[in-house]
Amino acid sequence: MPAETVPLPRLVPTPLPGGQVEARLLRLVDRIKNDDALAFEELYRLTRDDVARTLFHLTGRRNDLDDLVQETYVRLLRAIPAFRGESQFRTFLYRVCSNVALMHLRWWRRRREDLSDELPEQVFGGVDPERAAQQAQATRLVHRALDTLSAKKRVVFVYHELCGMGPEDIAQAVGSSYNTVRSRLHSARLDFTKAMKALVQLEVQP
Amino acid sequence: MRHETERLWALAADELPLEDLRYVQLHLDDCPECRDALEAVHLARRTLNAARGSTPAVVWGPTDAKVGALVEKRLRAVSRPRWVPALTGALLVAAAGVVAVVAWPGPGPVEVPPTQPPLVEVVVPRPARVEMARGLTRVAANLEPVASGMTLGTGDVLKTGVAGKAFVRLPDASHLRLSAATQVALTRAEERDIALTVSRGRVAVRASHQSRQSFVVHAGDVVIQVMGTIFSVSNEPEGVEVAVSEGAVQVVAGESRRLEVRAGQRLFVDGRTGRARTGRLTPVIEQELGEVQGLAEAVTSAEQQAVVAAPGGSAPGRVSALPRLSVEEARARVVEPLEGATAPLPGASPPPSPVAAPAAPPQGVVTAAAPGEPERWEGPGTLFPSLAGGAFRGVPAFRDEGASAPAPQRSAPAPEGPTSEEGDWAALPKPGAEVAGPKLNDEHEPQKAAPLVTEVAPASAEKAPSPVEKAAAPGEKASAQKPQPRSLEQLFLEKAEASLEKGGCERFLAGLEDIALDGTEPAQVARVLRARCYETALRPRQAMAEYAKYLEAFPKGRFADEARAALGR
Repeated sequence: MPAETVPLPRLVPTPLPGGQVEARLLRLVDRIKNDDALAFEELYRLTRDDVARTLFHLTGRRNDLDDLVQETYVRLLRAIPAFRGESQFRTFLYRVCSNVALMHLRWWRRRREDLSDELPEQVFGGVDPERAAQQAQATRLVHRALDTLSAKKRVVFVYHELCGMGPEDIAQAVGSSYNTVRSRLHSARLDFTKAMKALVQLEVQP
Repeated sequence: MRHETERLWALAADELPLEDLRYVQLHLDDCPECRDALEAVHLARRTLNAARGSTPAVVWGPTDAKVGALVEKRLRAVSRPRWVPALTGALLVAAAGVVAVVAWPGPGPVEVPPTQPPLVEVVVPRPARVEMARGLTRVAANLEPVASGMTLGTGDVLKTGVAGKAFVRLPDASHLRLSAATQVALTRAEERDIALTVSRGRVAVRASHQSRQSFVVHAGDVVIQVMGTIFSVSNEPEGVEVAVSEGAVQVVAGESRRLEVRAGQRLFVDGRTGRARTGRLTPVIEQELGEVQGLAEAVTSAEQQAVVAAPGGSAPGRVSALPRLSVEEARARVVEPLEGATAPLPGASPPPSPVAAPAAPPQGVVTAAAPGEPERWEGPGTLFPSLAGGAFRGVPAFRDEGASAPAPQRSAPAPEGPTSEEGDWAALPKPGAEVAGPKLNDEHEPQKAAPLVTEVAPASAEKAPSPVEKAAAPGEKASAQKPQPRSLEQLFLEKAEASLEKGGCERFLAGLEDIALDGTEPAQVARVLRARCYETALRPRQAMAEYAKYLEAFPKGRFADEARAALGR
């Protein structure tokens, strides 16, 4: 396939958020700026599952997840006064997540001895056991393949492929340009495909 | 190869424009390698789709509590200046009352005359009352905010938010601490009958020694029967946990199992299987139990002082507000100075100083006026006036440091963790409070700690007042022959320092932080005590952070050398 003759494919933008949810989050942010602890509690309840899932995919580790969630919300609380509504709040939140995850990933990769840590446990509410087992297996494979990516590629890949964010929002969330994000994403896709293929072959082999 | 994969991904993700789609499909027909590559992409996407919905199993209860505590700490720091003046005023008001009791000369320990009518007879029941509240609501038709000082009754259901915390005094003089994200119902809140139902979250209880019909706590399927003791109960989706730091409780789990949990033990009853396991107390639990104990002792001490100070145990206007005291407690009220620290000089007769620092020991110290001397008690409510206002320095403070102080820090910035984010990513506003101390030198031996808080020994004319005493009464020419009335802060700092050797300094961390944030002279001592406590607890990273904070606040402070040495500067 003569690659040079075909332009790079367009990436799918982020789906529009539910207006009510976004408006509610923005109202909560206004209240938090006035030191309203109850507003932060509500925001925490609304977003904590999403934050935990995102951090889980970004880092692939369960053991430290509670600490990461905690760190994320502490940083979020500090960062909220600087939020001026120039992006969606979810993008802003993911920016905090990515900073926390990046810090953790780089720290953790210096501690390779932790590789023996057990893989995460997941909750599969409302699905039958067979499907839950498949999901657990898929998650395990995905995280092992993600471990082969660099930290920055991993963040971009997870945000696009697992969190459904478009490149513009990812660029805001990670503080890079659109082209950088697109380049990292394509590179990450290549690496991920290779890694996944190798992992599946390993799984098939006795 | 790279662009092939990109377009194959785009094909699989329906991202290809129509003209490219036709081209790629035509090419695929003639290229078996590309078909294999496309199959690999489909495999990767299928796996991603399957993994997308997986949700990690987070035990939200402790995480909620930690986040709540940190948020509370943050918001509290932001709003601190608003109540600092009120606190200062409250302490000054407390000084007047306490000096009247502590500084008045007396012959030493005085036993309450056995002929005195037992106080049990004059006590009027007192309803449950909220001593301190933050983020506390009462569950009714709507959530009603609950403020400090509000009275409660049977049937009230209290709920703390994720950043909430509250202390409640029960009608039998027991005390209850509600952690963040907790809901508890006062099923029965009578003088002789207490029943609590913990729906979720954790409560710490310091049960009084009053005689009563029953004191039970329900949490899920578990029933805890209480005698006088200090314990906590948590009810989370995973199960019920009971931890005891003093005394013992009986736990009824299931239909016929009755277990006894003793001091230092923790019992976890699995919510699904009903299986019970035991363990040791965690630092977080110890911290919470220490807080409720500290507050209970402070309140009880204030109330008992009021009783003893009044002739015949009846301070005008105060009796009706007193807790019910047992005969044993009344007999046990032997008035003794606090570990040699409060004994007045023989023959010394210091007049009560209007500018003296407040001096109400938070640990149940009972003092009395000398027989025949005029009563110096100034009236009700002056010992701990700030309690009702929700702020009280010295007593384990109204904050939850379970995560930041005694609990093991496992968060991402671990000892070997990164101290900064990479510049390529746009950094969010950095916290100013975070101190990235230098790495721990494992071979670093902490300096031998010099005593920070000097005990007020029986004063002699030669002995110079300690730095803390100076701090307590700046500019005041203290007579060497008069005992210096000590402030609550002094007492607290002395206790905290003593705990470094005795153990259990963690329970003082919250209060020390409270004092340390004020930037006054005692703040230096408090900050260094926190650092030493962390060193004692073999938590060098936190200790270094404390020393760094110290140097930041007091670069020329009197412990600056110690801090620099600890930090290797």
